[in-house]
Amino acid sequence: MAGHSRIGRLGRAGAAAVLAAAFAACIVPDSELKVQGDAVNPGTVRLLQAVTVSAQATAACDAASVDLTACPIVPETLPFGAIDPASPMCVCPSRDGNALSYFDIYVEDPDIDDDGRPADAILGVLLLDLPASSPDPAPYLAYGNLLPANVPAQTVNLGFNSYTNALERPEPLVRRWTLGAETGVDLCNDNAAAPDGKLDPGLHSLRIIVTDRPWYRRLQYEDDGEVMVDAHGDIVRVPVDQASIGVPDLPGGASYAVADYVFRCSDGDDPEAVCNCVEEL
Amino acid sequence: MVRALATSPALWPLALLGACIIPDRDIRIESGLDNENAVRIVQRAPRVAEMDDLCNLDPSDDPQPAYCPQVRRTRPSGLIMAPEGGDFCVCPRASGNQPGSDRRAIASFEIYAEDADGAVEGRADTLYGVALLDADATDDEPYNAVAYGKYWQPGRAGEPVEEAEDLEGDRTAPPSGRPAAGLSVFQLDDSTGIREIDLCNEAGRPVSAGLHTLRFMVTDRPFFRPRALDLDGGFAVDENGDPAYGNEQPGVPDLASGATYATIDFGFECRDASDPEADCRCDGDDE
Repeated sequence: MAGHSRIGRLGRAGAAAVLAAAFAACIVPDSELKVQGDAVNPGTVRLLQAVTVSAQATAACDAASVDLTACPIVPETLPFGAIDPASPMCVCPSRDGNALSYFDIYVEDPDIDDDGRPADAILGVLLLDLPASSPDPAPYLAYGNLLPANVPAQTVNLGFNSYTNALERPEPLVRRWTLGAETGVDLCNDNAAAPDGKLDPGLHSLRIIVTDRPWYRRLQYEDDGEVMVDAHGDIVRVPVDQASIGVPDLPGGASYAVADYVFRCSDGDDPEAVCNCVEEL
Repeated sequence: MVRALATSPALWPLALLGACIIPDRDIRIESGLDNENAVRIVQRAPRVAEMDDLCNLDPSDDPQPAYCPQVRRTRPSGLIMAPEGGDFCVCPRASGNQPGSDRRAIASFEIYAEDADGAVEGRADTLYGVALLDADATDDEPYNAVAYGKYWQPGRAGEPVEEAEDLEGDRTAPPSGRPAAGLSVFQLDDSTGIREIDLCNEAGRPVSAGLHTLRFMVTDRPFFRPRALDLDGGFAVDENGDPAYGNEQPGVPDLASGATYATIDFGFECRDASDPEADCRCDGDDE
């Protein structure tokens, strides 16, 4: 009996020690843990634009990291905003000899999969002269020949001493499209969505919108107007081939980014426009 | 449980082993870096009509999928056209060499930006903004492009947007499927009650006739300040022996300190009021 009691005391003491150890073992420092909750898309997509920095800022970056001799900035490409070509761009009978050369669009999205690889495919489209009063982009989709709506941006390795050596932030996962790699970019004459590819002379606004989810698909409705759901209770949407191209799936958790170019097309028939119209190659 | 463990020592290793099995489904390990998330400028996205319908359903009905735009309506980026189909114009200077005044000034507007750092635990990153005119990609003194200081003091911090704020007919809601992100607003106006922006005459420096870009840059650290130099050309220190700094360089994000930045661009054309083909409405013109 006494022996049995001693074993019981030992057992209780041991159990208490085990519980204490288990309790202590589960004190997890939470300073670097983030509870995502219902977030299916923790990181957002961004369009990237190079900027210039001062010589002092460059020196500060150089001093801040052995991996850098300059500040981490994406490669320079056609800046967003007004396009200021060396010579006027024109609407020509054939093509514009002053057309832009190819250029890159850079995007980043921090989401990674379980293997540490970029998780999100980034899609983009170009919209021409989208009015502020008309949010539906369908009539304004443009230049699908330069940026197809279903072609994700490609992962790019920017190399050593580059934007990927960003300071005090996770390594940016950069993707890019190259527009007009084979043809150049003839904005005034080569819009696949316009009759004969031609734009009207005048000022134009070209918007790029990128997203990290497939384009929005409209909901399907029952006869009584209720949103249709399937046997699993999931919302039913229209088929993929009826997706609303250019509309990010915001109800589905997509993120998106927007940037714009503004440019002028002069009339190739205007002798004062100093155009450089050339024959088709 | 103590009784079960006390009578079954064989369970002790299992108890220790199972103690720290934490489900990791909804937990993300942060990098521990100073600036986990990059700043973004946010404006409304293209959408279809049914998305507006979803937003206008009564929230108490728990609509699925839930959706409202993240930010209020404001001026979209891209081309700014003059009202009435006319032109923006560089107008003749007024008396006292004051800038001319274009009656086709545009209404003041807001720019929104978000940064997820600390948005859940408490706002961590203050966002700072500057307006730039025709920033030159080759100029290593980019602060030369600072403009429109009358409408936005260069380097000033944006105002946090409280989620509770909402407007009838212009409802907003946090994004679906994403963690909360701290939202800030930058209200571009001249603070005098005249809520107009004269793009061609009030840039703070002369604007020529032609096509221009107004760029607004937002960053999540104060703009770069260079180390001050002493008389010998070395780095100066203050009376406490700490590094001394020169003036802030608005338009230069402090990338060495881990800043991120985002830009939004507006294009517009200014015509010269003396151009007989320009459709101008300058102050002093006959109606």
